[in-house]
Amino acid sequence: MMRSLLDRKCNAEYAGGLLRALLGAMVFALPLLMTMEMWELGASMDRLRLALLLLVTLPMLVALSFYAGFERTFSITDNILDAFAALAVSVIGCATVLAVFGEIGPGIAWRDVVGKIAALSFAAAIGALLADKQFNDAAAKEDATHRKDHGTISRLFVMAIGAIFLALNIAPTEEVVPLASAMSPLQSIALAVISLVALHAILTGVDHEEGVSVAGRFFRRTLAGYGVCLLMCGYILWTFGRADNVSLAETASRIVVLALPAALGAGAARLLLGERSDD
Amino acid sequence: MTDRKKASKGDGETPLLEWICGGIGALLFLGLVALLAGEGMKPPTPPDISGRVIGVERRDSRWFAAIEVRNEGDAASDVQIEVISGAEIRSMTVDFLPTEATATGGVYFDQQPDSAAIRVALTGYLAS
Repeated sequence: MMRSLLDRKCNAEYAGGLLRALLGAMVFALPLLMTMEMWELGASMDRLRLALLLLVTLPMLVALSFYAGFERTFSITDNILDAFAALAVSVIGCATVLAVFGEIGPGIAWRDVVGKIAALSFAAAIGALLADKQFNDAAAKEDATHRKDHGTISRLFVMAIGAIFLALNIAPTEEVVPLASAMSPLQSIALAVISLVALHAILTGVDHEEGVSVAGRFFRRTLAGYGVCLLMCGYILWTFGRADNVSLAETASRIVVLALPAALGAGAARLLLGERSDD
Repeated sequence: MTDRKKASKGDGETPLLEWICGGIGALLFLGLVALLAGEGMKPPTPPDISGRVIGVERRDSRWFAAIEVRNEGDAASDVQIEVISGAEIRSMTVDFLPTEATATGGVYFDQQPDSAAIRVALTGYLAS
């Protein structure tokens, strides 16, 4: 047991995975790290909502580790360890970049430092776990025989990750608010329809399923996926305070605006996570 | 790594580095959540913003008064400041002022400000 624990090759391989994770975390989070609204949100957003976001993110990271993590493993212990390792890599990476940018450091209140690091590292951790998919050719080949769990929950989870992948770059920005305010209810409905059509088109192109009717795919995949996008966007907007002190209709409009990139991300999720349906 | 996929996992097959990184991550995660939750339990405090003149100097044919704005309360945005020197009133805006943060800037006057009489007044802000 001790020999495996200290095995140089195993530890070296894991170290390689960590480096890929750090790279993935920075690639994913760099647009957010350079977004002024994220710095301000980190300093000002509700602390309990941010703590809740971290708590909600952890099981998602464990599940993501199962699907795409930086080492191939079925062990729940390893998936939990990898999720925490992704967070560690993300916190260290984000803290370093924020310090270089001057957004954290001496003279800046510790609560702002904690808030900025927390707000950014949960997003970077997703990139850390996706890293192996993007940067490891060996892993891409292994995925051909990797687990083939294409149940409803796993499909929706993959779409949720794709939705976050794109929506997180836009959700913190202030443009969502004036966009939603400028749109009439008819325009909001049109945008929702466009998002549904785009998602359906992408799913039709990515998922090469035989024997499934267009209507069947639309109800089982597209509508379900768009519903996941709406829920994710609603939660993200609430977390960032973009649903506070506004009417339900205005909130709905903001969710629809954010759900457009989320839907595109959800549809392309199978490409991002390297999985293809073969039902 | 391929063998790990096929074997049933036991703790002994997990490399030491993985345990160390997972432990560090767990500590950071719990630490962040605890700090945020502790901060969130405190009652909210309104922004506590004050300003002062830190210097006056001549620039070209005008006078520049350097201003320092400090916030000891919760974050505020769109902070509106007025600097008054005799009959001249100048305004400046700080887009975003986090907690325990200081912003420095300044305004220009046509007449030399009286150091004893010049004052800084907060005229408005948006609570973030």
